Amino acid sequence: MLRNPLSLGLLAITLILWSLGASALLITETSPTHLAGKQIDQSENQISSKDTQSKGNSATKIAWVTTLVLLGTSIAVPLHFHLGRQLTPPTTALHHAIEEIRKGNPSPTLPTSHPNNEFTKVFSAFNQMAEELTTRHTQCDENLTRAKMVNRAILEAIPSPVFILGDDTGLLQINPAAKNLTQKLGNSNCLPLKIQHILDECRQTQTSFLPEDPREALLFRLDEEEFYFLPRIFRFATDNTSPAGWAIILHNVSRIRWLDDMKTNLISTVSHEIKTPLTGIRMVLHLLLEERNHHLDEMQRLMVSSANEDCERLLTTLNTLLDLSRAESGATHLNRIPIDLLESVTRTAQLFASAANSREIQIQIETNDANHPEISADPVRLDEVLNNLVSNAVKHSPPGGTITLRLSKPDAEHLRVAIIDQGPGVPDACQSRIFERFYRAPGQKVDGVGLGLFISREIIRAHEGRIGLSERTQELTEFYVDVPIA
Amino acid sequence: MFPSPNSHAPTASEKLRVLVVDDEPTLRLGFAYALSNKTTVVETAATGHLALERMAKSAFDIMILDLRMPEIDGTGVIETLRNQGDNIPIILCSAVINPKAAIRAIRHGVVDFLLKPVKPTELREIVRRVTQPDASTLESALHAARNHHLTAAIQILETETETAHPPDEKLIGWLSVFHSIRETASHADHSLLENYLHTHLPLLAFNASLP
Repeated sequence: MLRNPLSLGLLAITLILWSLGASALLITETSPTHLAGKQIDQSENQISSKDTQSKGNSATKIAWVTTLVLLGTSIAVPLHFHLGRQLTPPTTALHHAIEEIRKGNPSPTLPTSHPNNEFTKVFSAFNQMAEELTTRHTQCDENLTRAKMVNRAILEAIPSPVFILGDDTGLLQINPAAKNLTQKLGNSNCLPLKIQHILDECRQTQTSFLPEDPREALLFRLDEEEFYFLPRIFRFATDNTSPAGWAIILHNVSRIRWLDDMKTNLISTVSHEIKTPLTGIRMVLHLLLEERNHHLDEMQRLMVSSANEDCERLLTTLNTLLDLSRAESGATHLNRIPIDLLESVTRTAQLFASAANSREIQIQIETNDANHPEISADPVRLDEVLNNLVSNAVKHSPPGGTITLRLSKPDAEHLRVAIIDQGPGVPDACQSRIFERFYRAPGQKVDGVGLGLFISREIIRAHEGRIGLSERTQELTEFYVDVPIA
Repeated sequence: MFPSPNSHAPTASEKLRVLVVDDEPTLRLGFAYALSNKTTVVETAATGHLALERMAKSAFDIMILDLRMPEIDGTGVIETLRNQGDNIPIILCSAVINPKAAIRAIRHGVVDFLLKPVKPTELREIVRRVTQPDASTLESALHAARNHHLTAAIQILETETETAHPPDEKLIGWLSVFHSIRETASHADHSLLENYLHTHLPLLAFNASLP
């Protein structure tokens, strides 16, 4: 109460009234004594009469002062309490109002019809502020709700299935396309298993999975139709306080895959269509060159030979195109089973034994661990890769050389087979390009069109493995293939 | 019928009668010219239907059959003939022989695959192999298989592959194919064998080339 200046004023008024009463009392006490001293020298009669008179006078004065004091008190006390009452509730109300606003409740209204002018101003300003706050608050809420609704609408309108997950939790949100997909897969509102596996890996390594190649799309069978979905898995984080999570979008690339297959099929079909009559032409040219019954003159022989060479070249080109279409269509349909890498390596070594023998090249197999684990691979496609690498090694080995096929375990997830030959090796300048399609190192005398390593890489990629050329040491060329352990 | 370039004297009974079935005219001409000689008569048919008609009219010793043809394909011709009880030796000749067709063919005793393009010498040699097989392991095993003696063929191959070092990859290839075909029912799933043939078929073909 004392903190309020009004209360101080009130106290002052009370004090003044009190002091007024007190001084009045002092005057009445002293004046009768003075008058009595003077009156002693005067007559006894006067004395007695004056004494009674002065006695009567002082009683009146006391009564008057008392009345005054009582009056002052009676004015001051109610005034004091009245003012106090008048002052206390506004501050409390203000305090309450501030509390309410702090708590975020809708704006409280303070009475503006207060007798005190100062408070009226403060209160109306306060009310205005509160009102403004409420308006802003409502606007904020509306904006937030609208933003939320827009976000939800966008999510729902995305035609691709979208799954939202927390950092370590299950599904948080799922859009209708995703709902539809999971329903058709027979596992409503559950992340498809194939994707869960990729997500687990992403979470473990904290990396996104954003493949571009439609060949990496996952096959889903919906209503007895094949669909290819390219998964896009990425982590999102708003800021430090908000929870982060993972989003998965499945792009339907069935159409792209279909077109790609069409292209591959078209190349294949066209190549075959050209190849068929070409084989007839080649046969006839060969027969003419045999000169079994009629001899050709020099010019005729030259022309037929030239035609024959063109024919051979054309056939090589067509075979290349067929190989390419096979590489592009083949690497996608793997039939992976657990197999023993040593068996594949042994098969390849046997296959090339006679070719190597004819050039006095030895093929040896080295393995330091007899109990190596099985790998997960398509045996036919893996053989193709090994055959290709060993074939290259045989081609490039010097006569009498040795080719080593060495099994090892480079890390916990892979088994490695290294194909090591004593040939001249790959020139530095073309090391980075040997896995490109149609690439042939310049000045090569050995046959080939430059697809072998490309096809091998495609196959190993499809196996989620690695293929490469190791650094040349001790005059040895080493290619390696890492295949995932089953 | 293609006129034999040196058409003199030999009697009809001595002559080897060959039927070439291919929808490619130049190839028919070439095959006929390449094979025709004093002792061989070649006739040609452009389609599977015509081939079956020819077969019904006259007897042949050997057929060179294209796999990819309109209407009735090579496999269709083989199955029709075998259903009629005709076990004529057949050389299946195509640019591409798919594993499925190969398995069906082998089941019907067709084990001679010729990959196009074909050189005249290769053509003559495979006809010789079929009509006059020598005593070598491969040729006697294939001869047994042509006559549906799969077990005999396997025995011949096994004796050789167990002793030879290194064993011939062609023999190993045929051995595993014969084993696989003998051990599975005719309509069973051949996916593993198909996978194997996917890469190894060129090896089994007469004019094989290493990968």
